[in-house]
Amino acid sequence: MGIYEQILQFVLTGLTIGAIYALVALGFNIIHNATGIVNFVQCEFVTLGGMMMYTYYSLLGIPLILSFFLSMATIILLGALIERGPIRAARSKAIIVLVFITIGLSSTIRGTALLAWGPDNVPLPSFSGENVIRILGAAILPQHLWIFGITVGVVIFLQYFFHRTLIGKAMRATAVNRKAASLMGISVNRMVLLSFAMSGGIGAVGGMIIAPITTSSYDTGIMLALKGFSAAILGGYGNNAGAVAGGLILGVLESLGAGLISSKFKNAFAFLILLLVLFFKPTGLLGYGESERV
Amino acid sequence: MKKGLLIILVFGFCMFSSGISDGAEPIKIGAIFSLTGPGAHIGVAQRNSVLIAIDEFNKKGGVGGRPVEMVVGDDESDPTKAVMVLKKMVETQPIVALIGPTRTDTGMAMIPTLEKEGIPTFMHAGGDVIITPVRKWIFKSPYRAADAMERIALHLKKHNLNKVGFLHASDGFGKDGAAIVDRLAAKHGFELVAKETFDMKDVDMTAQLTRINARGPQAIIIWTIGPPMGITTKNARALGIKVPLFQCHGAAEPIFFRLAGDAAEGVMMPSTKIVVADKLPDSDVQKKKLVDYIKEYEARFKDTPGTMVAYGADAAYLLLEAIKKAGPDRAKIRDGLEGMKGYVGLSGVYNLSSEDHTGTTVKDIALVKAEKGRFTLVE
Amino acid sequence: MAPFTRKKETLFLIIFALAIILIPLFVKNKYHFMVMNIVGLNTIVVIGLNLLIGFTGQISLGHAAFYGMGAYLSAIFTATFGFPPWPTIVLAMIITGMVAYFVGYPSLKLKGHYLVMATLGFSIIVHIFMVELDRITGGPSGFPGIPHLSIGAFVFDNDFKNFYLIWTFVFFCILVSVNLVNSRVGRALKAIHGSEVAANTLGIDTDKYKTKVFVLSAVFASLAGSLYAHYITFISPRSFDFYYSIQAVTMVIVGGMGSVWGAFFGAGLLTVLSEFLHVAEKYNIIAYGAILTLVLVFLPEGIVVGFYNFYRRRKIKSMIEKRGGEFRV
Repeated sequence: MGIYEQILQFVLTGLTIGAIYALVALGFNIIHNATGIVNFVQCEFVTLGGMMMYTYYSLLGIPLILSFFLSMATIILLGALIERGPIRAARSKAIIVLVFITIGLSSTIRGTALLAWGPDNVPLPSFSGENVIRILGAAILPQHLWIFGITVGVVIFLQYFFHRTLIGKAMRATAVNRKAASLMGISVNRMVLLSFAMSGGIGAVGGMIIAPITTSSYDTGIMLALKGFSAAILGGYGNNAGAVAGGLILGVLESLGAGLISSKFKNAFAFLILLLVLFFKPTGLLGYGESERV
Repeated sequence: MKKGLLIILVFGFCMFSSGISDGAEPIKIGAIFSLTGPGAHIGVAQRNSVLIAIDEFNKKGGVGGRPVEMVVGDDESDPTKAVMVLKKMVETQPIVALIGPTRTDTGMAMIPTLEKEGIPTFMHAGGDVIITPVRKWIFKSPYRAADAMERIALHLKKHNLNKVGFLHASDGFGKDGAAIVDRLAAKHGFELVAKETFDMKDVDMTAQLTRINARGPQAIIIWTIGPPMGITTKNARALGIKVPLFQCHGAAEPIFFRLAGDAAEGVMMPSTKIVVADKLPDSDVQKKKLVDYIKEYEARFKDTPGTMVAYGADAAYLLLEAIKKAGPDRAKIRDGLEGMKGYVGLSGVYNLSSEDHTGTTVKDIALVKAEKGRFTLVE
Repeated sequence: MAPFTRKKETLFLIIFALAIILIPLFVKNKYHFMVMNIVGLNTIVVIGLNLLIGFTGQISLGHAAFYGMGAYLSAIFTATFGFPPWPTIVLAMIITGMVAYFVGYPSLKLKGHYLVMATLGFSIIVHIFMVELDRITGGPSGFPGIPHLSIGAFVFDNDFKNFYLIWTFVFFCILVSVNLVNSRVGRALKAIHGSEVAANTLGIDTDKYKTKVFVLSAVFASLAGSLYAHYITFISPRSFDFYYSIQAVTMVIVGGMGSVWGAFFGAGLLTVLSEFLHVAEKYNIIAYGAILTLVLVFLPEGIVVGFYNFYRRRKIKSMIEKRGGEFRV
């Protein structure tokens, strides 16, 4: 393999992994925009996506496509339940308290998942076989194409939803100014509910499409969520285009860093870049002026 | 008539119950595993493996009629918690010996306390640091990583594969392997063309494998346990890497096929003979023991035992054997362990001594290959 | 902010000191000592973190890194290079404080939750260095053979002796914090917490104060880390990962933000709870999460302040009712 083919290989792999980071980052953003909190249950949305799909497909024998949508629906429901239950019941709406409620929930769900599925990783089949596809000397799997395609699909859907539908516009209005939105007759509670449901769905999709490559277990979501969170910050927290850009950039940089410089400090590179961005352009690459210096 | 029967029953019951309580107070041994946290997938299997060994021992009469009871603790894969669990056990239970823990770092954290208290301990942890230097009270049952790697090196030498790529996890086990492969490369004269690393939580190792592959290796050794075994194998096959792939001595588990899928085909690894028991010649001294154990394990846990189970069970067998000979006395048990010679276990024939607290050699290690969802014996 | 008056606070400090002196007379179990020692170490970390969160409203997810830096600096300098332990602890505190300054200063200038992200990134990088610089740190297998602390010929080599050592430090940390809260700096911090803009216009250099508190909290964490290393004599990166940071912040929240005594109760309660939940075996993670969620949903001010307010409300209610009035919240 020549050096150019190698670089192409690094970029292609980086982009697919980056696409997953982007999906997770989008999930973080949607809830952040509606509530201002960092939702730690996002890890569990990703994990449960993979595990539910395994349950429906491998244990219950439901066809793959149906399992995909069933798992998504399950996690959407879970997201809604979390909002309807603990988040809405919370006596204090202080951001810091809500954040730590999600940490508590995350721990509860992870414990339940460990109990339900055990500690071992479980496999999921690729959506369409494992025949290697060669692009200019670089090798990728059909699953990589699925990951990329589905991510693009989700992004297009979100773009349409937030900019072309009334309810999407209402959600954006809530993100900009809750009080004003509420005065305009938008039910803020319903918007928050919707944001949890959507985050759940998107997180689950991320978990499901990566599982055939990495397998899935009760704690697979943690590292992905951490990277997704970083991607969201890198792109500018709350900015959806930024989340996608952040995810892809993080994925590609990791892959290039490991391939060309040193695999030892691969993860350190990613977070070092994150720190540098925070210090020199704190709003993130595509962030808008939400966090000017006071 | 009825009355007579009743009297016999009552009498019998009294005899029976007195048989349990009288002079048959159980001897307690501690067992600490990583039942939750990142080490859980190994810890749970190890607990199961030890359970069988202890039940079997008690069925055979225990220590002169006294059964052995296992007190289980969970270290949550956390070194601080491990020391706490150990201290709790030491304070509340009269344990004469200890089995476990699962991980190298939890094991290392417990060593100062174990040495101070003088508790003979048989660990399941993979890292060689645990027994180098030899510590008075500490033993470990899994093969030395150096021996397992040597097994691969011998195979490479035999087949004239001189250029080797090495890929390892950045955890204790993986780094241990990275240090060993340097030594063995010098000893056996193969060239290490590339050495790359990854994090246990990483989801893709294509970049590292691409880098290794570009240096034209004739074989690739991958040193990790857990999910990355599957991901690395899949990534390597997806890149079209055709050279022989080797995994470490913790990979010969049924889960390997679930993790790696079709990519598992043809991957080789050092292992205990437990995964190829039915293919062993009848002359093999371990065969009967292995076959019996597998039958028992499958009946009880509805699962096929892998190589980790063999290490787990051996720690228990050796300890129980020592307790049987020495009685419930910590110092005598320890001395008994050091005097253990030619003990036929599941992982090999153990010869423990004051210089060697593992007791197995490279001769005990089998090289197996994954073929059609099963393991076959290579040599 | 703190629900106690000064007089009461002095009383609490005296009771606390007496308790530290007397408790070992009733405890004989090494395990119980160890649990109390870990509570003590966590308390030191949480006190500092509590000042930060309570007064600046900023969360740090990097305190595991400062805790770890204290532990590793002490371990490396004493065990590898043979430095004397006591000055090394101070050296570690200074180094950690300086690093904290460089991490905290740029991000504390910003509004919003930038400190969370900067400290999170920072702690992951520190963790990677602990793992990858294995020649110096021992890597993931850990760093064994750290000497116990000693004064003259007296060596702190068991759980009982370490109890006095650790809790003496806890006491002084509490003392420092209580004084800080009641000092000029404390008043400035309270002003910042009330309204940063108002404090700023009154001539308080808010950035400077916020950075100071952050550095102080990092120094506390470093101290706890050094004590941990010399107590357990073995350290590994697993003890200083992301989860520890989360755990520490959780202790702050459960104990009650901005209350020094809350830090102590939060650390004690959660450490003991996670030990106690071993009874629940495989349900322990679930139970821990569920309890945390319930506390936060229903007692968001934290347990100490939450119960105190509850008690105060009841007292006021009964007073009002005695005079024939009606009490409404």
